[in-house]
Amino acid sequence: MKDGLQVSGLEVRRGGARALRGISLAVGSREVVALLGANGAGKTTTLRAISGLSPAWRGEIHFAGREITRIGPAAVVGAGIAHVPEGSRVWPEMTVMENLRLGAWAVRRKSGLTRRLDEILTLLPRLAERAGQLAGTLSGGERQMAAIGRALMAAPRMLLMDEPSLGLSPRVVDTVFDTIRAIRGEGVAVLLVEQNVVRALEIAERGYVLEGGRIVREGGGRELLEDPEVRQAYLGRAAG
Amino acid sequence: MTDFLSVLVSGVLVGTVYAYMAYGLGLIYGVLRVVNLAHGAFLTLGVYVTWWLHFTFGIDPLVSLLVTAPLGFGLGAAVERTLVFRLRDSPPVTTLLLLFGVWLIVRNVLYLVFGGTDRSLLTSYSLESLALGPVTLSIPRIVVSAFSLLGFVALAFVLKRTWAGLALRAVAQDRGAAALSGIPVDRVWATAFGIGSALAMSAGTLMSLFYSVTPEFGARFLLKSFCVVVLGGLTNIGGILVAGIGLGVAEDLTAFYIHTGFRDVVSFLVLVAALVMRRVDAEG
Ligand SMILES: Nc1ncnc2c1ncn2[C@@H]1O[C@H](COP(=O)(O)OP(=O)(O)OP(=O)(O)O)[C@@H](O)[C@H]1O
Ligand SMILES: [Mg+2]
Repeated sequence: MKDGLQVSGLEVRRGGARALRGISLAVGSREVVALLGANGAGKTTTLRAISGLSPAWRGEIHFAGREITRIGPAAVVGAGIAHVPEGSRVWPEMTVMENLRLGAWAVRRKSGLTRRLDEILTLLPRLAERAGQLAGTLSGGERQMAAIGRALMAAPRMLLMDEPSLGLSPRVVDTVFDTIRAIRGEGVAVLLVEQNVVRALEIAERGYVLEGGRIVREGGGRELLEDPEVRQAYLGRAAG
Repeated sequence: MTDFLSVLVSGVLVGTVYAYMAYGLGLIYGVLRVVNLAHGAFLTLGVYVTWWLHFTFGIDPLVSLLVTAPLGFGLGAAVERTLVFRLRDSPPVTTLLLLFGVWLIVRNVLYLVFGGTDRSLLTSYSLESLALGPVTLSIPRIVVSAFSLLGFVALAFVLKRTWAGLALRAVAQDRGAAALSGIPVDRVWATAFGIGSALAMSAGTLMSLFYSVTPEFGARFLLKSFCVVVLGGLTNIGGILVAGIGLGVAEDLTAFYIHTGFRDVVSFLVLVAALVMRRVDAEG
């Protein structure tokens, strides 16, 4: 697991309260890992802490054998971790193309930008059709695709995704999950926060369940999917 | 009719300078969400540095742009780093008062050093004019307007085509997403404040060609800058250009057909009207 992400004993305070109370998790390179939990459990906070946006109070974060706990958001992107934020957060008054370009900020001095742009437009063909459109006028699904494309422009080895299927129609949700599979196919690891527990655990190798800022359960995707307590809590019914 | 045309074209020329003068205020607001009351200080400093360079070394105002623009950038970035940045988590009024303080200090230092007398800067072409058919235009106005338009084109290019410009717009539109993409938000803030101040100081330079040099220069033109920025839509580069030209034309027509004394009232009335209309828009 030297290649992947290791979080150990992470504590984060937000607005004085302890949003994370010492969590440890790992994501191997090329692995898709789901991070589940009720509203307010600390999922977004975990991703923000990894990205360096919410400073770690205690604990350590390592990526690819290197400590990244306090290096700051710009350096985290540079180290190979890109973040698709909750609610997509594209820049509304920039075109889709400008959004994508700017996603490569951290690696703008390296070569291969044009080639990567082509690859991403092949992976997300919808963006190619909308290249010149202002991102603020995209549909919810297209906006999510633009946010994913923007993150991929940084040539990450790991993607943090915060509820990418939120508010999308079932057909568009399918597209999002197909895209996540394709991203894994490219050798990019994914730490996936999802409300859509079944879909997330179907795609994920492993998963963690957060509750009140602590990890209360972890296991293989199938294993968690069959876990009676997980089913009770997130699907509202016991395992059949 | 000839008078009308002359006044109109002349108003358009001044209006482009108004737009150029105001844009920095809008840019800084857009990126930092800070109303830069020190804008008046930078305008005035631009005028005085230009006047002084001309008075002491005989340097042409257009050449001194090479001094005032970089100087404005440096001073602006320094003000952001040392003052504004430290207050980023305090309520907006703190920053507002602090920047107002910067302006007061600059104004009073200028009084101390140069006294309160109005001065003017006369070049060999200050009083020249050009007859284009029925329309007579002052050369300084033409030159200054051309430089302002050039500045606008350069700025639009930077914002649209360079990494720095894209980063600036990204921070203005969604700062959190910018940070997530690895854009160093605090450096972008300093850069934006620097560019905004460079615009203000170089605008002062251009305007020294046809306005008198006094420590109150900034007071007069800060209000007009507000007017243009509010009317033009804060960060909208095209809107600000149109608003600047609109104000220039309205002022010149007022001064010519009503009374010169009313010139400076126009911006005030327009500002109030624009704010009231915004209010109505927001409520309705
Ligand atoms: N800026 C903030 N200031 C104070 N408290 C915060 C802040 N952001 C989050 N919190 C608190 O931290 C805890 C964890 O929030 P977080 O956003 O990580 O939850 P989440 O698991 O992502 O929830 P959701 O499913 O609703 O997105 C919550 O109790 C929340 O109220
Ligand atoms: Mg969340």
